[in-house]
Amino acid sequence: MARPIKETPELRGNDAVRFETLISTSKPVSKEEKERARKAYEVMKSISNFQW
Amino acid sequence: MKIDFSKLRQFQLTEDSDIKPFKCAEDDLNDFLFEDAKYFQRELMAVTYLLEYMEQNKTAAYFSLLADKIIFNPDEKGVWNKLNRNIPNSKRRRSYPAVKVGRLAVNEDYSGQGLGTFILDNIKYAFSNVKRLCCRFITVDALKTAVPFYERNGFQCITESDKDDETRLMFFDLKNFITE
Repeated sequence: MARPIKETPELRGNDAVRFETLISTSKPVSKEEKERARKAYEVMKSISNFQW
Repeated sequence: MKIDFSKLRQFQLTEDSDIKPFKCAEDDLNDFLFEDAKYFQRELMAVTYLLEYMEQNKTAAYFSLLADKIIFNPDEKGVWNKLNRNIPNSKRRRSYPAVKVGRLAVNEDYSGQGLGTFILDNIKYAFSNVKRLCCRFITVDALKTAVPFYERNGFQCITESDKDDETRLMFFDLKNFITE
């Protein structure tokens, strides 16, 4: 049997401060990356037997 | 073996699904697909998607998704207030919704061709632009060996407390995906 899917813990102390710093200093994804993701989505939609 | 993504077919796993052969370097990921994925689906704990390469009659990759959230300890009011500063008081919540990638694996026959990134790109776009379900973050329970792969895809570790564990919890902020 595979290992369990680990649960995301409640953030506290240094982890909470670190997390706040990471998301407040992160930068928007580049246009190129967004376009690559859009294309991936379009391909995935075209090969799926259900709608995303 | 070179793979043409447009020749893959994506299915949602069902109770009746006949899972085509799949093998990757991590036994845990092989075991999850063949032994646990249907159980998780039956119990409404995770949904698994299969990417089949019809020409080869193989499962090229699979991934499992489930709902998640990022919660702050109520005592961390300072940090919580900073994160919420752009949200009016009446609309603030005590947690952020997330979608968790419980498992993501690529068949060893097709590794190194960008299939994992293709899957992550699709998840990023679907949850940030198509928005059938709104999530602020993608979280992942990543095997240590896969941490560099997720870092290349913009993920960061959530906590330092699991740095000696077999897996690390990581996140991607979807807000960065819709911000110009």
